[in-house]
Amino acid sequence: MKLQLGYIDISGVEFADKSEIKNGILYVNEKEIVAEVLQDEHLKAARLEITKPGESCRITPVKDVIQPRCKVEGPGGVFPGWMHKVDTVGSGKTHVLRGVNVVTAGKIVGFQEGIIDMTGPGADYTPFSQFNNLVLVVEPKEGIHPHQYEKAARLAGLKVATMLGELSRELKADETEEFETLGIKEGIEKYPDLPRVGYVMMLQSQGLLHDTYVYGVDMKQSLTTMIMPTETMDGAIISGNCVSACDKNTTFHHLNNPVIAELFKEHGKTLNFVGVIITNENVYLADKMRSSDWTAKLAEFLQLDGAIVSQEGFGNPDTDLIMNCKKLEERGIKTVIITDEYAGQDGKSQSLADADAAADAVVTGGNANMVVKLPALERVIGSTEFVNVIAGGHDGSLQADGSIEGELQMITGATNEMGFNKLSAR
Amino acid sequence: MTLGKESRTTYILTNNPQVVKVWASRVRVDFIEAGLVDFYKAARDRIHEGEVLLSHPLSSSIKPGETPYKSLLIKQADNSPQLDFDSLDLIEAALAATEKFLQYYGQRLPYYSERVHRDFQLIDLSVINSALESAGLDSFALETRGG
Repeated sequence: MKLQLGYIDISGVEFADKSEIKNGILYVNEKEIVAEVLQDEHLKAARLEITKPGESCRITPVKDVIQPRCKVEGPGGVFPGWMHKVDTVGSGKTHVLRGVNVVTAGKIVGFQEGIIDMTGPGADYTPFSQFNNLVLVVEPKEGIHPHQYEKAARLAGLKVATMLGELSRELKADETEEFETLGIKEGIEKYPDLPRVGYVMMLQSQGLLHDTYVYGVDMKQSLTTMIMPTETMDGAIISGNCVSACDKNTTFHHLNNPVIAELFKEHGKTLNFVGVIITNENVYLADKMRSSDWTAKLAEFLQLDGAIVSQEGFGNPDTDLIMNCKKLEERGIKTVIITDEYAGQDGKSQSLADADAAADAVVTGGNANMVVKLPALERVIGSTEFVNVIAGGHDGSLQADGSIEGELQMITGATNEMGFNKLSAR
Repeated sequence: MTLGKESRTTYILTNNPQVVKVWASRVRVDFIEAGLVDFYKAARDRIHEGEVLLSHPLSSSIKPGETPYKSLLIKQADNSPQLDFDSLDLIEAALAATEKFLQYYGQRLPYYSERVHRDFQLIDLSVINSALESAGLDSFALETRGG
């Protein structure tokens, strides 16, 4: 399966009477977009706000970040199962608006949304401070359940990203990249001497408000299965969850998975990137046994020499992470796990809720309990009303002068467990 | 309501009043009015007596130092109870994590408004619904989703 990504560089976003992309500027007709979003009967109000890197601006409570894309050649459309039919995506050509994201903001469950600072010390911890952000602030109608609100906000974000992506359909890409996954036999014949490496992507699936969707299917309901790496670039996997902001895999992360990107870079040089196994993180212990057994079974069937496992969340998923790692290692598959740590504010406590000697190669996204101080910023998009109860915040986190003191876990993407973040021990 | 084959031996242990409200008329629910540390210790006592955890004690990706509520799906001990070491490992790890997180807040949770309590209860309810669904005991879970 072969996919071309055509990058359309966006250097700024402005409101205008007509939505279009001209000379690298994304012009947005707010009225048109809001009208489309408010088609959803669960939403009472919606508005758009624009912010750019370096501005004294704080966005909170952040739910999701989505990069606008558009399928210009080949079967299917972006975000299959939601914005398009479920035809298999991942081949042909897809346009990517590079430099702008749609950020959805709204209080769903206050403690599981995050903060994005566009400047200051907070900006250093989140990759999303580096983009022009079109923030979609949505408000629910009275009396709807949080899970209905979550779904409405999720769909609203996907809808706006799809509408903006469409604006690039007739444009010429500023840069093009190509990704190809070979068939099993072809791969072995082409790279007989390279180690066969696979990626095991664990998807959050603990139930309502903690789910990830694959082609519209709740991953909680699925057995461990396989996906082509290029399918993820077309939005086959989307985030539908409210977990701690720092280690939530947003839809942006799924579209721009750094593990997949690096494996493609090394493909044919130092390794043979065989494919991606997706598995879940259910709360029922028998599900964990079954899913990790299937992970190991598929990896063995693919005759992998090595595997990289990434997770999402803390606690319950640590058990899946260690089970996957142990079972892969037992089959002789060298395994590296990517996680983050909850090692306490002083960094001295046990980092994960589970451990095993087989997990002897670990990449960490950082300590989510680390305390950070965020100064007051001039503009707030959304509301800081929930800062004291956000995961990582505490009573008194929001100070009288508008500054915030709390744990790193408040910041969207700060300790991402796919490795899409800026913390390093180097 | 059709219960799965596990129904007679499976029950919910919880400190979440919302879970009692939704489930007590349909499945056995043991309510313990306690903070998280004492709740986990009570669960550990039951594991010592041969009961087995069916759901993960650190679910929902909310740290134990943050949420006051937790529900567990537990299988009763049979006639010749044996200690289930996997369950014991999980509950000990949950206890250790809770104590670790609480030490930063002077052993107490932040102040939460009633609305935030309701949100925490809802998340815990949705997680136990998910476990009940996997266990095949969820005939009513769908209609009660969202509390």
